[in-house]
Amino acid sequence: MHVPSPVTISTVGPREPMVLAHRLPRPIAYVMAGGGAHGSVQWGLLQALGETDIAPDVLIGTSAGSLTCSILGEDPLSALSRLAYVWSQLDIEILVGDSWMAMLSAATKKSQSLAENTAEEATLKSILVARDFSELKIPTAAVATDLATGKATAFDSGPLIPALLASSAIPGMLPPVTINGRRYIDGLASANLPARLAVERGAKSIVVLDTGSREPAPISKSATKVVSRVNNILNASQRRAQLAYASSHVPVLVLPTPQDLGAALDFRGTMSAASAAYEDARQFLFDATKLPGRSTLSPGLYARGDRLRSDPDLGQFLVPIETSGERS
Amino acid sequence: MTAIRFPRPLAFVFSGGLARAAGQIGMCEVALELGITPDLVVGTSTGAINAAVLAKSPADFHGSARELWHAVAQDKALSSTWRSTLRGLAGKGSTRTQTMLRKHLAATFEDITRDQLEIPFIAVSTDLESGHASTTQGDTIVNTLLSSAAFPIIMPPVSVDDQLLIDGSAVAGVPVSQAVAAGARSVIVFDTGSSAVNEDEVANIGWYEVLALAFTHLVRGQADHDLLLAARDIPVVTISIDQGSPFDLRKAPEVIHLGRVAASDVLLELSPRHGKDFRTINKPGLYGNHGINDH
Repeated sequence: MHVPSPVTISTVGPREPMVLAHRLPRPIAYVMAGGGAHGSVQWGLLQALGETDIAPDVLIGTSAGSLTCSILGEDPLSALSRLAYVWSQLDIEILVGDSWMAMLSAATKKSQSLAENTAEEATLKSILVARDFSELKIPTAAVATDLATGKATAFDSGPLIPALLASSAIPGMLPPVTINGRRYIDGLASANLPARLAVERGAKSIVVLDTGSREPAPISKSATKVVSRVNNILNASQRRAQLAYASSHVPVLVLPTPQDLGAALDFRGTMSAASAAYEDARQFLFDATKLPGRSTLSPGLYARGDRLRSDPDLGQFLVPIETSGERS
Repeated sequence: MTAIRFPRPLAFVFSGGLARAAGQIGMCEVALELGITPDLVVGTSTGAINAAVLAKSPADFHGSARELWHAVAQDKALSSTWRSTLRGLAGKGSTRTQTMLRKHLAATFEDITRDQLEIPFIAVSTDLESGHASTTQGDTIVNTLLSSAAFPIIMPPVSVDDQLLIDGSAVAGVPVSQAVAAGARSVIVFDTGSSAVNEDEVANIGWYEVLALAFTHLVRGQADHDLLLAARDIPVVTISIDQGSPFDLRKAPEVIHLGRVAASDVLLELSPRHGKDFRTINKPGLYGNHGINDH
């Protein structure tokens, strides 16, 4: 199997680790967003973070992000190579099976989803050795949405696989998962980027590993296009709300992510997206080491400034990290 | 003389909520009966329709609002939103739903414009292109309301100037930040409530209902965030109902009653105690029967 390595295409090889950890108050949380196939971006981001001296104290993720967190939490040392393997193998059939006939038949019945999660469950069990949160080396939480109440719920103990299945149960497509007598669906409905939960659970600084986004579709009056656009608008405003809450409490470092990705369930571009994310994140982290001062960072949104500066919700928290042009 | 006083300007804020917005009629009636009157009204979607009826003439609110809701509920083609949804999914049918709603709104508002209302009025729509709230839409009140209530699938987007507008719920399910931006120093929110349902109600639902519920949770999560933000700066009184079908307009009379009960409970709780003549609600924060997890 051929696994492209971001390091070989980088213009600069690994040197001394970038020194940044002393600026981040502990505990440091890595917050990983959901995003289907775009989750591969987080592999690239983790590769860049691996060139710094930052080590996460806690992990919290939603949907695809909850899988990345579990892989990292299970064994930080082997995580990057395991993620490379996972993202080179994952595709839509592995997650939802390949029977379109079964989906069509489910669509006409009163079932809770179009596909079953048996294929996804088998995939998760082959990726992870751990079966319980207590087996993970770094404390890890997976975020799902309580189907009835809509509340974001963080699972951090007990059986691992059901929590991951719940966290990534795309509404309508994959079945809700019952845990302790309640039904849960994908965390995207309540906290696709669970920065607020990270703060509420005690994180004193946050590194955001988002999944990037796709080019906005052209505006159209067609009902399905309108619904898809509304979904984007709602996700974007939920993300802004999460970041606004977190960055008013703790320093939040938002790694840059690609904005020109394909569809969230199109697994063909996963490796190139990860490589692009690695390059940008590496430069960003280097630029962050140039932040003035020596002490720990105060609360705020430490991010590339270009698109956030005029944001009505986030502009007030922004501490722009500009490109210096020179690399480490 | 009102027993509960608010820092002025006071805004009445009407959330979106499809058929459940009927409850806002009962809530608003109780507030008016207690002598509480707004300096500004703000609404989203079906809530914008109630807000506009109030803004047109507070003295006639009781009669006009019930008349409009009764007419819409009697209209068999509109009274089941499920039927409208099917029409929308089938294609051009959604234009027919819009035409029917236009007819009922025109009976109440004729062709009056915003300047002709008795109270300043803001309706919130979503600009499909920018993804931001739009509050300046429409030449007549009828067109303004049609864009604010252009619920995806059930009705088509509305073109105004260069903008393509849809239902304001996508950006402002509870348009409280628009009230603050317009200068309100206190707000009373007539709220159609949380998206939560009982666990036993989700035991046997179909995949499309799971999808719809996930969608309403997304909308509500954003509305709760906006309420918490506004409550940092000004007093925010919420009167919420969590019952009543969002999809069945024929239950409007019962839902109006639920709204009256909720408003009486909340406003009684805020009333002066120990023989005082009045109480001023001037401290920023969330008041009322909201179910929001406030940290």
